[in-house]
Amino acid sequence: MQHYSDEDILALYRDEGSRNMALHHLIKKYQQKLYWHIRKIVISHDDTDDVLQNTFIKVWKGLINFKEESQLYTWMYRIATNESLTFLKQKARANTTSIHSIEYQLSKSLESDSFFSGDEIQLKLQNAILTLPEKQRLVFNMRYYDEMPYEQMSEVLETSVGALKASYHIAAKKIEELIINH
Amino acid sequence: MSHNEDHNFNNEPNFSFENKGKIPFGLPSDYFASFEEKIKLKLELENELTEFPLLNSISKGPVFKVPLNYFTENYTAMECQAELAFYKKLQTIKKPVFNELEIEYAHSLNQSINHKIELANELKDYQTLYHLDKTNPFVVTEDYFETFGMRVKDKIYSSHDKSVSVFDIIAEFIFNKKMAFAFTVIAIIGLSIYLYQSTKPIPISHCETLACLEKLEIINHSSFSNLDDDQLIEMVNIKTLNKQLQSTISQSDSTEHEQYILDNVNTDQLLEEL
Repeated sequence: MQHYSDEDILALYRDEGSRNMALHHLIKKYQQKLYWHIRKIVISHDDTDDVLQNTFIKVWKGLINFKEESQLYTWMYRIATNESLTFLKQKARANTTSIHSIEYQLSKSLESDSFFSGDEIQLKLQNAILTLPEKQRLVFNMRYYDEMPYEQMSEVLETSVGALKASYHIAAKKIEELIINH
Repeated sequence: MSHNEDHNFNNEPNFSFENKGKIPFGLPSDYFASFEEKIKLKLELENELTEFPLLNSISKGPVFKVPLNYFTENYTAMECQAELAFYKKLQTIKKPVFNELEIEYAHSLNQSINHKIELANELKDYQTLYHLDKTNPFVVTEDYFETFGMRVKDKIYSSHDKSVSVFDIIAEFIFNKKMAFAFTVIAIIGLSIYLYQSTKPIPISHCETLACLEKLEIINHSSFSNLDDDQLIEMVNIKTLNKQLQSTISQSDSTEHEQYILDNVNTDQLLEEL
């Protein structure tokens, strides 16, 4: 299958006749990357599916206003991140509990999740990640799993590179301690 | 008979055995017989070229080159072919032709290798994380990504296809969150103004009569309850009050006179007088 660059997709979008193709290639290109990014935040597969659908719908509706000041990928990543965090907050509100309690619940649900195939150490790692504050959790996942450069991460999270590096090291240190001590 | 015994170490053809033990080199049998012919041919060619000085000045050295390792690779290819000769089925399969890599790819590859090194170096401080397998522990349902695109497209296009009536547009405009917020704000402001106006005391300086003051007293009960007698008296316009009292007295006088006539005068007398 032909590989479509962001420029190609945007060009297809601008032409009314090929807009449907643009949507097709946009989803094909980014569905997996965004899925795994969202999944590591909301943990459950079903919740991830909902958030991912909403993300693509928002992206599609907002594409007309996309100014190309940032890369399409980082823009989509930002939307996916915001959607995921909003989802967690809404879930906490619906359960009349705090966001920390939701993270604790997510950590507990991992053990019985049929869509989690990790071994004991992977489970420990995920539980340790879930104890981190929201921002550190995002930074750690984006750096450790997605291997995203700090510059790109800076665009997504709208934070300076220095602050992101500090966040990552604090997060890694905490996780290291949690894995060793539990 | 072996060649070595004859000192023919290079296995040269037409090795002469006549001078065995003296000259260990061989010659083609007709070498000297054809030598004169060869010299004549060379001279003839050179003579021919003298007529063309430009051509004669150009060196006759080899000008074409072959790619580096061409002959070695060719040999390797032939060797591979010879090996494949034993495997008839493999021979029938056409080998794929790979395109040359783009320069950009080499650049991005360099960048990604550096990035990987950077990531690994970062994790070296955290030995547990460093030695941990980085595999993704989450899984998805089978065919999830194959069907996902269709589901999103359905959602997007189903929202587009809905026929929207003018009433719906107006209703949506009126009952959307922003409008609801705006209406609420307007209602709160309106109610506040109304309540403020209704509790605001009527300016006392405009009131110049007792009746007005009485009315005001009812309306602005709270305001008047705080006033003492002197303040109330000060508010009364004495001139206007006098005038009003005079007119009231005169009115009551005329009314009494009319009543006296009605009581004391006979109707017949009145008719006669008329």
